[in-house]
Amino acid sequence: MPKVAVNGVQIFYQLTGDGDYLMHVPGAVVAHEGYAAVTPGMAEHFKVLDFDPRGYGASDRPKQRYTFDVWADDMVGLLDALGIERTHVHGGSMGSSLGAHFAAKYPSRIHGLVLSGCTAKSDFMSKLQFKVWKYLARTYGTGSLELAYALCSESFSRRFLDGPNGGMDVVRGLAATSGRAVNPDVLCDACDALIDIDVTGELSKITAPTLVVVGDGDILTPADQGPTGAGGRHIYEHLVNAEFKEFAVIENAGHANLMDNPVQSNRVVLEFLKRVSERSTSARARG
Amino acid sequence: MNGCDIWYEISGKGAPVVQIGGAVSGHEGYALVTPDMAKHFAVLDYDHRGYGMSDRPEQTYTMDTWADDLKSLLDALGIEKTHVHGGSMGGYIAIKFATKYPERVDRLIINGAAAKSDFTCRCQFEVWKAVALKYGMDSDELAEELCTKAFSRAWLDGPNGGEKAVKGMRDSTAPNASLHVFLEACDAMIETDVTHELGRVNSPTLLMVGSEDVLTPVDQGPGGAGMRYMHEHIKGSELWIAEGSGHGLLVERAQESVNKVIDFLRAGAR
Repeated sequence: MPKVAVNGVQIFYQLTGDGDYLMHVPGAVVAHEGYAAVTPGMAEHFKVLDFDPRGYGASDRPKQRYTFDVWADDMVGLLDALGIERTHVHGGSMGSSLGAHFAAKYPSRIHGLVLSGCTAKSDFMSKLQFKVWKYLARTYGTGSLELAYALCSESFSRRFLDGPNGGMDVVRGLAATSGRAVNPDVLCDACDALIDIDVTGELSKITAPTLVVVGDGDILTPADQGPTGAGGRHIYEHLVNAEFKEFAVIENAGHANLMDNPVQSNRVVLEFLKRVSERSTSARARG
Repeated sequence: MNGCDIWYEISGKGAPVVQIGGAVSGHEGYALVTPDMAKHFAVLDYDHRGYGMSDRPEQTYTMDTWADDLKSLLDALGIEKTHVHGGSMGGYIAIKFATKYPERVDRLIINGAAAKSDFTCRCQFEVWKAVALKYGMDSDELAEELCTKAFSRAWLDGPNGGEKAVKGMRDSTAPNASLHVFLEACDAMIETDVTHELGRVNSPTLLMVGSEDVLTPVDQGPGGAGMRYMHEHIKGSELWIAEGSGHGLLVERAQESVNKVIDFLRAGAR
């Protein structure tokens, strides 16, 4: 299990495939396992960097306050430690909020940016949703069915949960994965980070080509947050300095669009990143 | 009433309309509606067994329990036939009542309910149970969770949303529902299935739902039966979708909803 020291902690990482680098930034609950179904396909085109953020999975879990700054600084530390100058970044769920924060703080390190199921600022509804996750994590634990019921009902489409891969198997599976991936202290810090997040003022610092992805039935991070929040559409509209930008709506998909509609979700991400790679290759050839 | 005291109140004069309350607030869920309704109808508000000022025996509760109580209440008050309006769990009860006692229903209004809960709904009710068990019926924690299912994002960010909405939810839940009954109510909504009985409904039926309802949406998943399903299986029914509203139509769109209810019920008298 490869690990590398970053800012004083051991960070688990894994490199798969060959090509331009593609960093997968995990969400609040399942660490790098959230990309398990995606990495093999992406590794046919890119050198995929999966990792567990500090506090998650196989990385160290020091008792401390976890914030987007801590995780973004670890991301740049991980790239430095591995000698990676520039990488595509694909963030899903909290990984996308972290990806946006990272892209605004370290714009020169990003090649192409994918923000999937992204919140730039939480409205009152989102704040309540994340508060409830905290209550359930604190009282029942991160490996509990109680927390998994909440996560499943807010993350997956109704069609998926009623389908052959849904039902209690998906609840039990998510409970097992989140129980492995994170403890209540870290998850509660992650929820607080999501409750307090506001990167609306930093979106103009993002210069990389950016793809914003959202499921058409996402009730956790919908395209449109209420008026006090900022969702995917707001992000897309305010990426005023991105080299170019795209907005993709995944059909029949909730927040977990990679699970709900893997075919369309993977296709839009892959095609976007290939376009970004090809443009920079031809720019280098011209230069 | 079947061994239990049921609180009720009749306001106004005209054709009778019984309003069935939801899983947390008893008859108070209709507080914004009754005054307007009472200008045209004899409005029968009541607390169903386990709620508000009615007795709260510790027993098993099912949709049949509440439907049978309603029939007995109508018997006791000498009401042969009545318009029926049920919202949220009251809608679950109303559809049960209309399939079990179709001859007692004049016109039927189902407002934000399901004939069968899909897996998402089941998960949502499991979360309600989990939060209620650990934090209690009078907790902010439960009120916050209920608000995420009861209202739309836009409304929660508006002048009546935010902490005001959470407080309102807590204040209507705490006095009206007790833990045992609430847990039973969640299980009753998880387990009920009237999909095969919808053909028995023989009243003109109005199905009302907010387009942003995430609890009892227009379309449940394929394992459930939501508002559109009921519309397709209740002959001659009307599906009315309030664009932009969440589950709590009678709060988010009180005036528009009550106008629609009155128009629909009065159409029968013409």
